[in-house]
Amino acid sequence: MKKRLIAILAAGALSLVLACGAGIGRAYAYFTSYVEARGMHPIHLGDWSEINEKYTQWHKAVTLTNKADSYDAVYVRAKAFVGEEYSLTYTKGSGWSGPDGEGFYYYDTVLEPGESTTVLDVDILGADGKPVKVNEDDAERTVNVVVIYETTPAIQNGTDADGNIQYLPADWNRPLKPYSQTSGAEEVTTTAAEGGDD
Amino acid sequence: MKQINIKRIILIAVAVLVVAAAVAVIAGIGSARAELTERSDVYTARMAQDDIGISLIENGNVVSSRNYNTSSQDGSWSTTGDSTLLSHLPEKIVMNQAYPEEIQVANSGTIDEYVRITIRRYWLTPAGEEVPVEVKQTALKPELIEIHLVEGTGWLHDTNADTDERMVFYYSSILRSGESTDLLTDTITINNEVAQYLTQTVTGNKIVTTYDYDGYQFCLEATADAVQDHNAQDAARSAWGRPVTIDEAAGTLTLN
Repeated sequence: MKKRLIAILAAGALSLVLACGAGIGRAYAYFTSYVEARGMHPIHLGDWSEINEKYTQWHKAVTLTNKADSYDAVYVRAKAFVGEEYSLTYTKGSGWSGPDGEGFYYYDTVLEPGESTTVLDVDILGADGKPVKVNEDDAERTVNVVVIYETTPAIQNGTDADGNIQYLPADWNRPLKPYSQTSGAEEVTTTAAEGGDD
Repeated sequence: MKQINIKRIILIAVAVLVVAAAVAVIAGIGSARAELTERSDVYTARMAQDDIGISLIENGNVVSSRNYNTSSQDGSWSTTGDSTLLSHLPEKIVMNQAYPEEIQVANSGTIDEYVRITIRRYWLTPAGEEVPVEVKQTALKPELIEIHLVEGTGWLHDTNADTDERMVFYYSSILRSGESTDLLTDTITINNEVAQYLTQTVTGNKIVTTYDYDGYQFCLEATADAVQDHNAQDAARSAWGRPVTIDEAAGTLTLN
């Protein structure tokens, strides 16, 4: 009888322990929520420009244009080369400055897409600095006048209070990846009819 | 013989009487009846539904919202917003220009909660793929997408959880139902360093400048999480996997 009583009590105690232990480690759910959002936006970079030259009477009129379908503005500079028997003089249109120690002339403001510089006039003179005289028996003379121009990206630096884009100063020493250059010599052919004294 | 019968009868009778009396007494116990003479006070019980909800706000507009709805038969979630960021930016981005990007969170549920935000910024190729690691490390660093954090707010920056792309913030105060947090961010800016990688090609009288990252996309993600206010410390640990200390009496959260 005693043993039976003990067995019953033990069974009841075990049942109680198991009932309590079943609750250990049970996962409780909490109220949680979340939201997500995402956005993306492209950046557009790139530009292309070209030089335009018009030659008349030992004179070149040079303009530079940042094409309208460019994304970015550029700074530009230019200079010309001629053989030793000739010399060059420049007449700067509005906005041009120079030359610097390397002979470059600089357009003072950036060229936004679609904008062109004013004219940079280049006159071809004799080595003495005087207009070249063309003799009648010197029917054809070839003069190489090479005009080179360079651009450097105008790096954006936010906008002003009116929403106008601001740019960092031109950095002509900016290292660039190697590029191919095929700027050719500009041949100018004169004839006795075109040359002549001014 | 007659005496015995009488005695027995008398005994039986007495017993019956005694039993009957006892029954009567017992039946009488607790049988007191009284009229209800007092009316109890009227008590009003308000049943509050535990609907947790959270909304992500960009520049004052709710871009994404998710609220639990216990009143619906299946207890479903209601979601609103197109979950799209940066749709307000102009088509042509100006480098180094700070554009408005005010991000905050609102409690759009009916219970108070604790919240956090995870911000992620990264670059995508024009095809929409994440840039390769080597490109990311040498050129298109995530930090070129500058997210300006508002100072002096209730947001705590968990710098231990930061990566080069991800930042995690916890709001230090309980967010009551219907309230909004302080602004976490206010502007986004693309650093002009991205424009330094370029090639120039000269052909005849033309110069073409080609940028390495023309057409690449900058991407911004924001995820906002909320946990209930009761047992919030355990809830945060369970839901966020991050131990925090919550003082429920004060309604504050601190990072461990």
